[in-house]
Amino acid sequence: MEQRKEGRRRKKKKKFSQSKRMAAFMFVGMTVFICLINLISRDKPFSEKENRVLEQKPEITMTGIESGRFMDQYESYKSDQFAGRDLWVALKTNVDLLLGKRESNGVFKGKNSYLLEDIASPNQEQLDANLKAMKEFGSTYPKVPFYMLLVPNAANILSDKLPALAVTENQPEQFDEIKKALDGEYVWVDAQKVLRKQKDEEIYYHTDHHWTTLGAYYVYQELAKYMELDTSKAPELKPLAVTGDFNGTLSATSGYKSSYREPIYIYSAKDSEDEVEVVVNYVDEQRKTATLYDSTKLEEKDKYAVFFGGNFSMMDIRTTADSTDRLLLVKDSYANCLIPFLTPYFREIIVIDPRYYYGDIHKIMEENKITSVLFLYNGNTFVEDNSISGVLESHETE
Amino acid sequence: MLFSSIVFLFTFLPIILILYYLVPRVYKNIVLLVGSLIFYAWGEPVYIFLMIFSILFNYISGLDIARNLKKKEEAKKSLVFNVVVNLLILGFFKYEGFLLGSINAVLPFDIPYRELPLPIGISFYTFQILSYIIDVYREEVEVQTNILDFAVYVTMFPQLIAGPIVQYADIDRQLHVRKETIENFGEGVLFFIRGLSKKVLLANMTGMIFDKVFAMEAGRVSVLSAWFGCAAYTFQIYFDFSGYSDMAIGLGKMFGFEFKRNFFYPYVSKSITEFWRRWHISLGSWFRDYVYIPLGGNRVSKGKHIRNIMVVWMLTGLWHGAAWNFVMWGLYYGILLLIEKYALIKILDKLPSIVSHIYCLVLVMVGWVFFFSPTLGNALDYLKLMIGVGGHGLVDRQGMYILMTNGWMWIILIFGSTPVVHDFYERFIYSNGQSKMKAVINCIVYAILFILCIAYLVTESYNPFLYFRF
Repeated sequence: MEQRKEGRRRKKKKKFSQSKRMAAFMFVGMTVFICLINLISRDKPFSEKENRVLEQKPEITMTGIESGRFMDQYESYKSDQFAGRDLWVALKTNVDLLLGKRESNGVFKGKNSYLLEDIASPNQEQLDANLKAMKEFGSTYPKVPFYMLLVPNAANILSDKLPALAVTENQPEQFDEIKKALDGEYVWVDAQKVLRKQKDEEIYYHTDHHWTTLGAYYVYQELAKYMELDTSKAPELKPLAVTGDFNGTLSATSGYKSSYREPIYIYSAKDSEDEVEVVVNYVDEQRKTATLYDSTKLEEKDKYAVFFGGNFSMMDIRTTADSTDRLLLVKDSYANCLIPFLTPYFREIIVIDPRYYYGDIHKIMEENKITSVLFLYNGNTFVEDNSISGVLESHETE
Repeated sequence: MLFSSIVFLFTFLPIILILYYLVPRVYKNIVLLVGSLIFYAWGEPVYIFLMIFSILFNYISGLDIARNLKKKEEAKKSLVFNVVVNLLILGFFKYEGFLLGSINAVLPFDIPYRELPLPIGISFYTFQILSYIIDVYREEVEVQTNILDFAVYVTMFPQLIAGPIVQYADIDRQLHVRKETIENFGEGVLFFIRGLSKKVLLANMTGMIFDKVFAMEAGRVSVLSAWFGCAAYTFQIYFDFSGYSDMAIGLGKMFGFEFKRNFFYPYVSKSITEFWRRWHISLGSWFRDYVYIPLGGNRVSKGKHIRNIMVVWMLTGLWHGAAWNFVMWGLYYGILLLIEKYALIKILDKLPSIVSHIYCLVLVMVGWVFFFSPTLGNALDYLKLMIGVGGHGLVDRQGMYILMTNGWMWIILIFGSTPVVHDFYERFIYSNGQSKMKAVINCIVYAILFILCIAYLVTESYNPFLYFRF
C-alpha cells in the first residue's frame, strides 16, 4: 500500500516534469522564432495604416544613453518595427470584440459597420472666448450678414447606430447653448434638423469622422435658403465616385474595420459646359490651381484630402460666377466638401482655417469687400477649438 | 525597463539567458550583475552611480558590523550609522518633496525645492539591504564577504523594480550555490507567462475602465459607475502587482533562484487580518521582522501594542508613496486591524462566510479609494459618489454600459482572483490520465496566453498619427 502510494507520487512528479520541460522548450522555441523573424524582416520607413513615419534604429551615442533618449528611441523602434505588426494589432482588436468591448481610442464600433467618433466635451473657457470673439467680430460689421453652420457629428445624428447602452456627451444641448450665445449677430443654420431627416442615407462615412458629400449637399440646400442664394443660376449636378477605396481615419485610430472600403463622391455639372470655372490661390503656399480637387490624394491613405488637397491657412477662390458677392468662410475640414456647391454663387470665396492662419482677418473683410461671412465647423472641432478667438481678435488692438 | 515590454522580452531576456547558460559557473553571477545593472540603468542611467554607491557602502558596512560583533556597542554604532544613511538616501529621493511640501503648507513662507525623479525600485532594494544589515547584526546570517554575490543580491533584476522584497536570509545560499534545471526553467516559464498575462491582459484593461470612470465629472457618475470604477481599480492593482510578483518568481526560477510567494489570493479573505496575510506578503513580513517585533510586537501592554500597530501601519502607508493619502490608507488599516483584533474577530468567525467575505471586500475597496485618490479631498468626494451623494442616481446607462461592454472581463476577473480557476486547471492537467496529451494541452494554453500578451504589447505602440481632428 505504502509502496504503491510512493510509486504514484513518483509517477506524478514525472508527469509534472514532463509538462514543465515541454513549457521550457515552448518558451525558448517561440522566443527564438520571433527574434529570428524580427532579425530577418526589413525595417519599414512608413506605416500606411497609421499614416505616420515609423521609428528607425537609433544610433548609439554617449549623450543619447546618458539622457535616456537612446533607450526611449530603441523601445519605440523595437515595437514600431515588430514583424507582423498589423497582424498582432488585428488579433488584439478581435479578442477585445470577443470580450464585449465596443470602443477603442475614442471610437465606437457601431451597428451597420459604422464607426463613430465619441462626442467631445467642450473646453468651456476656450469656447466662451471663441463665442465672445465671434460676436464682437459680427458686431464690427453690421452691414454684412453672418451665418453659423455647425455640423453635428455622426454619434449625434446616428445615435441609434451606437453600440447598445453607449453614452456620449449631449451634443444637441451643446449646440443650443452655442446658438443662444451667438443670437442676434449670427443667422443659425440648422444642420441638425436637415441631417436628422436624412439619417437613413449615407450622410456620414462609415470609417471616417467626416460627413459625406451627400450630407454636405443636403445641408448646402438648406444653407442656400438662409443665404437667399438663387439656385436657379446653378448648374444641375450629378454625383461621381472618384474612388471606391476609402478607409478613413476612424478605422486607423480604432483598429476596427480596417478592410472596409467605401466611395468618395464629388458633384459636378450634368452638362460640363455649365461648370463654373475657378482659380484657387493657396496664399501662403504661393500656388494656384484651376481645380477644387487634388486627385493625387486619391493614391494616399487620407483620401478625404481630395477636396482642395487638405487644409490650408488661407485659400482665395475666384470664380467665373455671374455675381458680385464675396464670401468669407471660416472653417474646419468639414467645409472642404461643401465649398464646391457654393462656387456658382460667389465671385470670390476666401477660406480661412484659423488653426493655421496668422494673418489679419479684418484687413480681408475690408480690402476684399466681403459681403457675407460663414462659419462652418463640425461640433467636435468647434467645442475644442483654441484658435478662433486669437484670429478674430489679434488685430483689433493694433 | 519593464518586464511587460517588447525590448525586455525579445532583446534583453534572450541575450542574458544565452550568456548566462553559456558561461561557466564562476562567471554566471557576473553575467547576472552586469545584466541587472543595464536593466536598472535603462530607465534612469544616472542613478546607476547611486546603485553602485549603495552596493559598496553596504558591503563595507556589513563587514564592519561583522567585525565588531564581539563588541556589541561598536556593532550597534555601526548598525545605526548604516540604517541612518540608508534611510536618508531613501528619504531624500522619495520623501523630500512630500516633506518640504507639507512644511511649506504650514510655514508662512516657502522653502524652495526641486522634486527629483524617483530612482526605480529604491523602496524595494533599500528594504532588502536593511534586511541583510540587520540580520548580520543579529547574527542571523553570515556576513557576505564576496562583493559579487552581495551585488547580485542587491541588483538582481527579476525583483529589482517591483519586488517581492527578498530577505537576505532566504537566498544567501542560493547566491553562491544554486542548480538550474530544465524543469525549474519550465516552471519559471509557467510563472512568468501567468504573471505577464495578469499584467498585460487583465490589469491594463481594467485600468482603462477605471481611468474612464475616474475622469468623469462627479455629476455624471452614478452609484453603479462609482462602484464599478472602484472594482476596476481593485482588480487592476491586484493583477498588476501580483502579476509582477509572478513574473519575478518565474524569472528567478529561470536563473535557478527560489523566491517566496508574494500574493495568495487576497480577495478571498474573510477579514482584514487575513487580507494582510495574503496581500504583498514580503512587505508584511519585512515590517513584522524589522519594525513590529523589535518594538515589542503584541507581547507588551495594550497601550504599547496599539502604538506598535499604528507605527507599523503608518510606515506601511508611507512606504507606498510620499503623500498624505497613503498615510491615511495605512492608518485606516491599522485601525481596522486593531478593531478586529480586540473586538470583531470572534464575531467574524461566527458569521456566515458570505457576510464576512463581503465585509472584507467592501473595506478593502474603500481602502483603495484612499490609495488611488491624489488627495484626501478627492478620496472623500469619490466615497460620496459611492453612497450616492452628488452623483447621477443609483443606476444609469453609463453604469450599465461599463457592465455590459466588459461582461466577460468581469467574469474572468472575479474567477481569476480566486483559486478556483488555477486549482481546477491544475487538477485537470496534473491528474491521472494520458500525461503526454495533457502536457501538450498545457503547453498550448500557455503558448496562446503568451501570443495574446505579445499582441497586446505590440498594440500599445499602435499610435495612429492623429490627423484625426483635422
